[in-house]
Amino acid sequence: EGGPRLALRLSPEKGRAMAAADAGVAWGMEGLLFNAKDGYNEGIVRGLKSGLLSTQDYANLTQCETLDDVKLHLCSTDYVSVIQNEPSPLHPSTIVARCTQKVVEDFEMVRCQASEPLATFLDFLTYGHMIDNVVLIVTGSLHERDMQELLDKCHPLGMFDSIATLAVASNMRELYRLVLVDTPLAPYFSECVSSEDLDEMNVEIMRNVLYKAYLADFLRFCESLGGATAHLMRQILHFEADRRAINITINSLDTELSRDDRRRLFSDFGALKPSGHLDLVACDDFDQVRAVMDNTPGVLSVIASRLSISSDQLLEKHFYQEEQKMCAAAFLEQFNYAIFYAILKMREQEIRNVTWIAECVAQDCRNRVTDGLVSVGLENL
Amino acid sequence: AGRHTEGTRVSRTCTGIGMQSSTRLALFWAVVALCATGAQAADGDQVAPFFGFMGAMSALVFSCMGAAYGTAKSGVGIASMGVMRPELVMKSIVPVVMAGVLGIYGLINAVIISTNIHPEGYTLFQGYAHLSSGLACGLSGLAAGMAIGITGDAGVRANAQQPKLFTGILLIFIFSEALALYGLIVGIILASAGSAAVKPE
Repeated sequence: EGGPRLALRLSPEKGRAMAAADAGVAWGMEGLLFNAKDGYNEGIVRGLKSGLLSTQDYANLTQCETLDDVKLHLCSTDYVSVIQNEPSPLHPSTIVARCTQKVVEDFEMVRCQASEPLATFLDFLTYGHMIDNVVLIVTGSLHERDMQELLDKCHPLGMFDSIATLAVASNMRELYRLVLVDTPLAPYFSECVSSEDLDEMNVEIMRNVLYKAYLADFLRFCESLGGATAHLMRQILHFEADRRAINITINSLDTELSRDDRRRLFSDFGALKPSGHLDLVACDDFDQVRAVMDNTPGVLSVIASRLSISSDQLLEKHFYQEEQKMCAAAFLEQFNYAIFYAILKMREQEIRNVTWIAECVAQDCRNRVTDGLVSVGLENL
Repeated sequence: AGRHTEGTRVSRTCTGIGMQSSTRLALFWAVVALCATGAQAADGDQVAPFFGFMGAMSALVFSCMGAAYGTAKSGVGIASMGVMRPELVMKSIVPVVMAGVLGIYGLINAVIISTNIHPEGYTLFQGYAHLSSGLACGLSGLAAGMAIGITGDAGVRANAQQPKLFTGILLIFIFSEALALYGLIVGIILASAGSAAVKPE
């Protein structure tokens, strides 16, 4: 008798959330209302998902001897329209650039057809790339690189109009005042604005502070949408926050980054907060980080158990695999926006896989080609 | 000493005059019976034209709401699609035309109803029949308009990318339109049932 009584005293929101832990549960009236505005976009995205490279495609690609074979096999996939006219001799970077171009074109098509609030959600997906592009150009201009070369290396999804003028700024305040105030990144910059010079360390700190503000804003937006979108994106973004905390810790292990600065870069949500963050701040080597992951309930302890001692080589791969599992799970529920996030991440992972295969083929170390592949999509789970 | 400090105004009043709950219940049913007999005592036929004209109004208004939703929603899709494929715009006008037809159904039914309402000798039976006729046609038109709007929006965008979809999408429009046609047919039947009835002498 105590069980049902307890559920009644909870708010309807919490009761529903507890009951709907499985996929396929209706959250509200979205079955009636979602397709009115976003049904066509969901249809396109599910079509794109069925066009991902299959197990058979990967089997063919890993057996390729030359880059021309890779091109031949890619011509029997959805990438045929961008790759079939590439002249020989091929280079891995051209193959990857063409495939990335296809991903960007498909994303732009979905973005054009989107109405609010889906349009804002899709814009949020590009802000991460914008932050990476800004950091790329600022670091490149610090090392006196050519601007055109840097612009070619930028990710197309994160371009904005005034990106080339980033080279003019000499400190953070100018960076904000001259360029970033007109971009969507402006509200994330409030913690960064200072008169410090732009050197390597400060630029990395700037990247992480911007990304922390962006993740917090994205999570707040998804929570305001409610329903299955909020449920799925909360899981995904909490994992993303934990992953960044661990990567920041590992990357700053032998640097001059102070403990306070490290603590400042961690997000305000995730499984590691609050006790995991305190432990991570005190870490001095990789084994301590692994112990912290072991102590955290949830997916991080599972990852930690798969790692070998004192080696962080495969950590990145395990993080990507976990992210792909969450993306595949998003497609099991209908009438939510998490599938748009998931399809972009899955296609980016596919591009990383193709890059790995192309590089292995080009450098003639085909015995390692299956090491770096991360499975994408439900059939490979 | 035994007064309630909470409760509705009615219960507080009843408690104030010292009434018990059984007495309160009996009083309630007495009021209902009085209203019913009062209604019968008045001539129901004097109220009948209200229902009749409400039927005519609802037939037109709800059908036009459905037609407006269908036109607006699919119009947005056509405008988005027409930027890149202007040659397909005329072929994609089909959902707008089908949504417009829903308004015509409502017009037909409203005219049929309103020509059968007379100032003299219009019974309550006829009033109810005309009300039901108008609501049947109007709400079916609203439903069909919403269906045509949503499928029209997605359909014209999909047709721009894959022209082979045209026949299938046209079938979807026809089935949505059929819903409003059912409403019109039933509306006409009900209106004729109302008009054929003659008050027994």
